[in-house]
Amino acid sequence: MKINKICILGGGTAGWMTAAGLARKFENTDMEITLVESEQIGTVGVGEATLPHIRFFNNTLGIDEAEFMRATKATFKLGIEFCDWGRVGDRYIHPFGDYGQAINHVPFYHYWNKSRLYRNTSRLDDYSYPIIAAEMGRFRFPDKDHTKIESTFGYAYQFDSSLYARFLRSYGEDKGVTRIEGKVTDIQTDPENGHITSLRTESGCVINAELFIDCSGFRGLLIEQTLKSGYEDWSKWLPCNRAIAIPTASAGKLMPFTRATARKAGWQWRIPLQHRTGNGIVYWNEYISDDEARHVLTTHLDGEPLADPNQLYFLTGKRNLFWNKNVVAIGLSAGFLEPLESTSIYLIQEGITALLELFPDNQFRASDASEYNAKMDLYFERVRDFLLLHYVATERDDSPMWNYFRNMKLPLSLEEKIKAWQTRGHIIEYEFGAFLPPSWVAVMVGQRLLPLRYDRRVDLLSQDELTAQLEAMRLEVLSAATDTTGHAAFLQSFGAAIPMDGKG
Amino acid sequence: MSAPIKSVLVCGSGLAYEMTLAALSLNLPGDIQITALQLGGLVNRDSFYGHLTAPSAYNFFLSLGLDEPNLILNSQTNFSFGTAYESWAGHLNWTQCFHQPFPVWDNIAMHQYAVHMKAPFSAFLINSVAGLNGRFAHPPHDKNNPLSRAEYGYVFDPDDITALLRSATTSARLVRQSGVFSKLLSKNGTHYSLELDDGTLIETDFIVDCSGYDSPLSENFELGATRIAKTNKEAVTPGISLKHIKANPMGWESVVRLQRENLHLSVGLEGSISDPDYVVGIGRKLSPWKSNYLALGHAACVVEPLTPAPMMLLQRDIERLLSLFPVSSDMTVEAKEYNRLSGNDLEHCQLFQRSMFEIKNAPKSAYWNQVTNTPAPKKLERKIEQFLSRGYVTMYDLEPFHAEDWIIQHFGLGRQPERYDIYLDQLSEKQISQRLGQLSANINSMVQKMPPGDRYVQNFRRYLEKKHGV
Repeated sequence: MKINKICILGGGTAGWMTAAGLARKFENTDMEITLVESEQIGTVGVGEATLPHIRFFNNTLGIDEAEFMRATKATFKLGIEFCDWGRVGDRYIHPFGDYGQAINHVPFYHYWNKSRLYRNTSRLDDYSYPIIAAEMGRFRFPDKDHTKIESTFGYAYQFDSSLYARFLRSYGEDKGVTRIEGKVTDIQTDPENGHITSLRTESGCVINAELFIDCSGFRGLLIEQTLKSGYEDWSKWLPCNRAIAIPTASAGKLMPFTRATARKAGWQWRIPLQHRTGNGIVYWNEYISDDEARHVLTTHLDGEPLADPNQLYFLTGKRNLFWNKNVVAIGLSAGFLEPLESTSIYLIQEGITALLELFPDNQFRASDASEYNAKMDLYFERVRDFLLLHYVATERDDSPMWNYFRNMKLPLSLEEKIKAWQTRGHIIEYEFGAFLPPSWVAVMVGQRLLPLRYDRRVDLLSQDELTAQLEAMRLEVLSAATDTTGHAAFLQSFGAAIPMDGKG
Repeated sequence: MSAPIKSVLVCGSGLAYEMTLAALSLNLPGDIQITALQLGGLVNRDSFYGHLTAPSAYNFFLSLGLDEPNLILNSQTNFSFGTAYESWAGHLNWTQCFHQPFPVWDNIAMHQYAVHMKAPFSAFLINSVAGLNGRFAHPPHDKNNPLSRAEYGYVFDPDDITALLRSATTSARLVRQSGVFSKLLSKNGTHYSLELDDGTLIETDFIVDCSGYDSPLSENFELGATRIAKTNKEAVTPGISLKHIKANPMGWESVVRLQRENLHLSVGLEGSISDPDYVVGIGRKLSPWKSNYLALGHAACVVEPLTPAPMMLLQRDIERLLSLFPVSSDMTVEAKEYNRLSGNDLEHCQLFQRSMFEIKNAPKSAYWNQVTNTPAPKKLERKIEQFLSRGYVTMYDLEPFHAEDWIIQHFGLGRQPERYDIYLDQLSEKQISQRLGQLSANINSMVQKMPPGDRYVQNFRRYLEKKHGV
């Protein structure tokens, strides 16, 4: 038998993304989708920066990109700039794209790696179109001609997540999602099978459903407080457990990248939007007090604060069961990984995609839930390893936190990955997960984790040929980036929500 | 201290040996000396690579210096859309064709439409329909043409390809010699060199062993069942553009149509074939790469050639060798990564092949009983359970067989999902039926225009001869 009633608890980014995804899929059916949210509770706003995968999600919904950009005051994003991670004073960009183009079917970075060992002092970044364009503050859409260097990248957005939730709320309600305002005070379960049967709000409104999506945030009102699904604590690997966020007025040129700057007991983010800049600090309270963290954050702002700092608490990890009985947890109720690589919205998106692929009937077969849980386990673990790489690929020893990471026993999967890279520049790759080999290369090279040797296939080019091909690639990237429109001007022509004058 | 690699010794004979030599000669720099040691006294079991490649062989052969015109003009190699299984388990017939991703209509995968209608899936696969009608043509680039979704592999005689590669691999730095293996010598158990029976000592930085299943260089082969096999050739049969496999109580027989002759292979349990060419064990080395020794091809693993798996594994192992070619005498990292990936590929190929035996109403034959005498692996159970439950295809990282291969196999084996994609409920029965009907009509119309496979390859050959002035 089909499911006819779905209830989503929580109306933040996760709740409205889920509502929109479901509403799109079931738009011509008699499926009843209800979203319950309370303005009293508020939302966390899991992240304002995204990965390129978000474009696929928006496309699936049939969202017009220019309309979305205006509504969410979004900017384009070509990557993430990391400052002070390998050493204080270092900086690099993790691009959404590749380095150069393969030569003789061998990835370009292998050629750069050899040249580096032969004293070529150029940065790997110099061969990446998205990095050079980002550094120049330029943007364009990828070229459809795959032979061109301007085709070798993807892009994402930096947006106001509360505006994105509002935009998707409008989308979902247009497609029939019913929104109920109210705080949930009672949850009824079936005594026989333990399934949740209904929610009751403070005002007495009862919402019956067959499937419940828990987007209630960290507290996991359904998945944890009711069903006791358990939580796998990953704080031994990713111990930062608090954050403070603060918006500031825009300052300087509007750059198409997010910045993450390492601090002594955490790291600070900066996300430029059309109308303001999002800022925050993620930290480990073992080594810095809340007041000190607030001080570090506010002394490194480049614009006027627009609101009071907002304090957040979290425990890194994931739910033991993302899908338990008739409840699926999506968003912060499913788990939390710090937003160092903008993965929060990506993980929401993967949760929605997997739910749509494995959408249950009212028998709630164990095979549907187990497949969903296996998929989500994999996605979370792979993001965890990638985040942890940033903390361990470092020479920093200037604080207890960095020393903690230097002495850490790594997950085996990450340890082997680092060893293969250091030995010969080999990336242990996988098929399913957010980060492809160029992302791993970006972080390892950017944080001074450099191979001792190089792939011998590159020796098919003589030293002169190698030097010439590298220089040709560098110039091609530079020329293409120089010819690219400025980010602010591109936004203005595409349809910015506000004038971009004076933003470069 | 680890030293740089200056030399590699490839020993053995046959297909894996010549492919490895070609790959190394074309992809390694000139300062690495390559020695080819043709070992005498080895049994030729190359027919156990199965006479059929996957579509990816096009690029692989290209990387070995063999482009398609060369293959067609200078060997008996022919095109194939896949494998037709006949009387599998006594009652199943289907075509395991090579196919690009299936169409997606209204965000719903095409195979879900077939699940909903309980329609025979093969009718919606152009190369299945074309193959069963003996037709062939190269898939065009035009995405509106239904044939553009077809893919093809090659059917080949391994001795033919071996000879072709041998004549093509003429790099000046490749030193060819022959001899009879005597023993492997080890320095501190970590570095091997090789001694021939005339006392010649061959010292090298790295040994690649392509000497086959009963490699004299190394033991430690984890054996499963034993098979006997026999090949024979006969006059060509027109109108075959698929590999055909027919099961029998003691094993199975296959036939491929080359350009000028048919090539048969019979495989079975011991005692089931008179005058077999050879005996071979199904099995593997747990760690094909150990220290400076790498076993490759049948020296590393033997898989029953019921699918293109043996050629896929050989190809992927050679490609992996290139990307992990050692950079110093300490090969610990390379060996670990190679063994992990190689093991994963083998496991995933075995899942695909074992899946062919997970059938209701399976025969009680000796052959069938032997293959199924251990329970199916959990990873396979998960795949089958998901497909049977809702037509969902569970995939693991970097599987050699693609999702399309699995879907075609599941349907071919009579697995009918219990549920279809619920989003189909938004369409009427008529809409669903029309979608499939239109696809089927387009396929039938296209197949009618395609030439018989034998005529196509003859004409293609004439075209190439004219173009290349042969």
